[in-house]
Amino acid sequence: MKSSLESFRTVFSKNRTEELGADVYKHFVVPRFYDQLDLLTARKPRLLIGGRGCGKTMLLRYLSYESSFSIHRTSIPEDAIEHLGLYWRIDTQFAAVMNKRGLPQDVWSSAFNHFLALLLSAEIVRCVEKIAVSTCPVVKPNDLASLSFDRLALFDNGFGGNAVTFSRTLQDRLWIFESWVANVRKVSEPVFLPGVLFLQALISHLKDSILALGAANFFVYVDEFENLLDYQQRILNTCIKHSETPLIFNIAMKRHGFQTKSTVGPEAIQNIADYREYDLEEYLLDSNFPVFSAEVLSLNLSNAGVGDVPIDVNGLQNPETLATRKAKDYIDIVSPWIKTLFPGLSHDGLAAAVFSNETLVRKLQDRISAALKERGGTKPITSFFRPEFPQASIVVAALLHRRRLTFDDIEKEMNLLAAGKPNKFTGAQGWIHNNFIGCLLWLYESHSSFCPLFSGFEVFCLLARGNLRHFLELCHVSLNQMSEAQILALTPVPPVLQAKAARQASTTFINEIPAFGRYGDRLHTFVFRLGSLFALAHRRPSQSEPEQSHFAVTSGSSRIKDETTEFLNEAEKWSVIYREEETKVKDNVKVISFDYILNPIYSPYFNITYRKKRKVELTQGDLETLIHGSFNDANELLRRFSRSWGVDDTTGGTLFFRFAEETEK
Amino acid sequence: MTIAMQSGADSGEITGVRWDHIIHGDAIDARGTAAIQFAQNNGPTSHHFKYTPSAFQLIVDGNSYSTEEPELAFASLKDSSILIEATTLGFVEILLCCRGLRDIGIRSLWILYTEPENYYRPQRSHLVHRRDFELSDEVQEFTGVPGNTILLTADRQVKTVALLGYEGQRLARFLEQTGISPGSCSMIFGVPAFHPGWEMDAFVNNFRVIKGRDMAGRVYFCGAHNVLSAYDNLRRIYNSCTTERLLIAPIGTKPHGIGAALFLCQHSNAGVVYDNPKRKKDRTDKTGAWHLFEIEF
Repeated sequence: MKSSLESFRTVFSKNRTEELGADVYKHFVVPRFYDQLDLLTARKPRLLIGGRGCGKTMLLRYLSYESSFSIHRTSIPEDAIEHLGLYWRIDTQFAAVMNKRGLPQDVWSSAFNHFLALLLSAEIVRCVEKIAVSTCPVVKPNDLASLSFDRLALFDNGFGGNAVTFSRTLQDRLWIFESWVANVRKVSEPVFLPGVLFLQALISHLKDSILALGAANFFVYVDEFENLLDYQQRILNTCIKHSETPLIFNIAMKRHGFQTKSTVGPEAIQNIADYREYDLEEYLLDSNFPVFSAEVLSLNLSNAGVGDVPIDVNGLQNPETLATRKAKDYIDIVSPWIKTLFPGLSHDGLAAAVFSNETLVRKLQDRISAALKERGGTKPITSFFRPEFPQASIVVAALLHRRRLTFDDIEKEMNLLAAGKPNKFTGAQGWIHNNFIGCLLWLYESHSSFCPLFSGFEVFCLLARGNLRHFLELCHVSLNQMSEAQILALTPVPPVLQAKAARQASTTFINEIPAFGRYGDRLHTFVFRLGSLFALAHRRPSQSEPEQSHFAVTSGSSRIKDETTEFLNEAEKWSVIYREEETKVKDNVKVISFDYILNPIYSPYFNITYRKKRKVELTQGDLETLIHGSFNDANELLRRFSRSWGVDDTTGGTLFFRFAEETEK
Repeated sequence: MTIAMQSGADSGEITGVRWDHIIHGDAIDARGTAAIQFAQNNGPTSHHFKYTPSAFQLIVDGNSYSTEEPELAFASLKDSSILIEATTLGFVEILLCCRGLRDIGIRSLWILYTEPENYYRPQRSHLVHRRDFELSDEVQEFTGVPGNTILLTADRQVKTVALLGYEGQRLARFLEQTGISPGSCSMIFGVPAFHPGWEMDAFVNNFRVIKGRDMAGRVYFCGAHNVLSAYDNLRRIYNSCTTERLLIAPIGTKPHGIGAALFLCQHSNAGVVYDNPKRKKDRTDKTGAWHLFEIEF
């Protein structure tokens, strides 16, 4: 039997839904927005959009019959048969071979329809079998045993017999089909089933034969739709357009996943008219992601048998508990618990952490001295470095670099602060408020200590930005910093260890980027270049524009190239960047521009802010250099920005950010 | 099948064989040029072979053929002695050559491979990871190869073997795109490597993925240049399958790819997926050891 610690590691290492198996019921937490999606009652197709790790596949698997009629469910209502989900992740390496190879396109279209019919028919039969052995009283094992499929011989002479025989024949047909696809010139072409028509016939036959299935509706959930070939998408788009009970097609995809919205007929599919689009990430972020993520963590810990979680995790799989879970008294239990487990530091705490570290204190003093020296100041460092006001002392290192501020002015404000009088540090001018985090990150830049800014449950939620996989990895790596006894007792993780974990998790996710599709390597390079640019921006001595972590293209000689737009779409598809619309009025004309935000999960790696504060304005040429430019071109771009920002560039080496050694540990 | 191997420090040590026909691809680096030169010096007729994965089409001496029927492309080579110059051919090209030649009745053929003296290490790699090699310009999605295509479904058991090289991201992409359970994926490393120390590059570059994805399959080692050992390991794993199908991802060294190609052309019920990387020009520097493999089907 596994120890709790082993279970803990196993539960958290299985961070992809695919690794949990078909029945995810006991691993699932009903999202807090679930009741807004009307998934169980809708009679029109749904398009679920979201990036990697936002829980698309988990939701689809929860909606599938494997989970709806899970052995883990002690009671299943009769009306569960009104929504029978069929999960379908198409094997894309196989589907990709179903193309060209000297065969006309109409043959491949028929073949794909046949493929769809075989796989989904087998699922439909399996679904009814699962219902029969579940606690749902609608279908009994006897109903299935007495069922004959002879009527379907109209489609294929081999079909007939009982459910077992029919299922086996479907499997045989799939083997034959697979052999044909592998060798289309050497194996004779099978007789193709007419796709949806066959499925409708099968469903109709089941309903006629088992009267209890009269109210049954089958909902196909096609996952990773974006990986399908153009003609395959067109076939499924057609299925969507013509969806009606008892067979509805739904799809899930990453952003920009449609290669086409055409159908095999003259009309394309349209949002609202033919389907309704749900952006899962938006829903997650708008529906108290922190509480939801705490619930998911609680369930994982509970499944691993680690610690005592403060909530009853058995209700998390049930949509009926949503109202309870949204109640204030429930949230008041969950939030303090998780904030205690992953405590963060206030700004005072962050400043105190600096002053408890001799090296950082020395670095701060050196910077203040250097600023005084650079501008010919004669005042003693003690005028500005005042340990009794740690936040002000940290910020002052940047203020002293601002030419429009005189040393006298800054000293005067410091004295006012010391005297407890109104001052620009804490007053409306907001010197501390506006500059503290930027100055803190600058101080930790290239420092061996981990910046504790990247600690605390709330920060983890911001770093994850709706991505549960990222959130769980941050928690898992943090807990892993602790001893076995501490993990099992769920002892609070000190901020510095959380910050270390955040850096490790961030490095792991950076290293995953090359696996992101056909542009994986280029996306990796782009993130590295962009992160390096933002890291440089954080090193600006005056911190006049602190916390720059997104960019916008504000000028350029021509419009952005198509290949650049395609690349940015791919970057958005894989969630390495996010795009937000920004509307400005220029010369009485409304102009829509976009801000591109680096995924905050990468911020601990680059030691940059995770907050969307200020943007770096790029020209179209700058952006193209970052995306398509050579190493030397990108390096020169960094050098140019470095010069304009007054960043110390005396090392002469590359300005790219690196943590190469760390990734080898 | 028998596989005999001879090796030499340079082409002068590869002796005693001449061929009627040479099949080669495009040289993208010095060793490719040297290999084609050597082959052409020892065979009067050479044929240029290219596979276009996006169209599933092969082009031999400018003529297009379907991937399904490579034997049509080689019909005129019947009863000849043939050398496949593998340094300049990709994995799928080698597989299609072997399959096509076997199907026209060729019972023995030779395969030439020249090792690189060194791989190109771009400046970029230092930024990300010192051990990263950038060997490919652009990659495609992993797709099946006609003739050895298998369907992966949740209810079918599959044993997976990844032959691993220096590019850890290809393993990550393979797992990501196929949805293969990392726990069931065995790995074959090229040890000993072409040069002492290079095996560390393969370990370290793949280790991040192996650890990150919690891969728990068996690990096998066979010499980076050892076609026979790669073939034998695949055969052993294949023989250990009971109800499972075998799926191979040949993303390791070229000799391992040759071993996989030879295995696959004899076992059509084993599957393969490949990402057809577009190789970087001048990705290697100078020519290392030369290998000639004699294959008896």
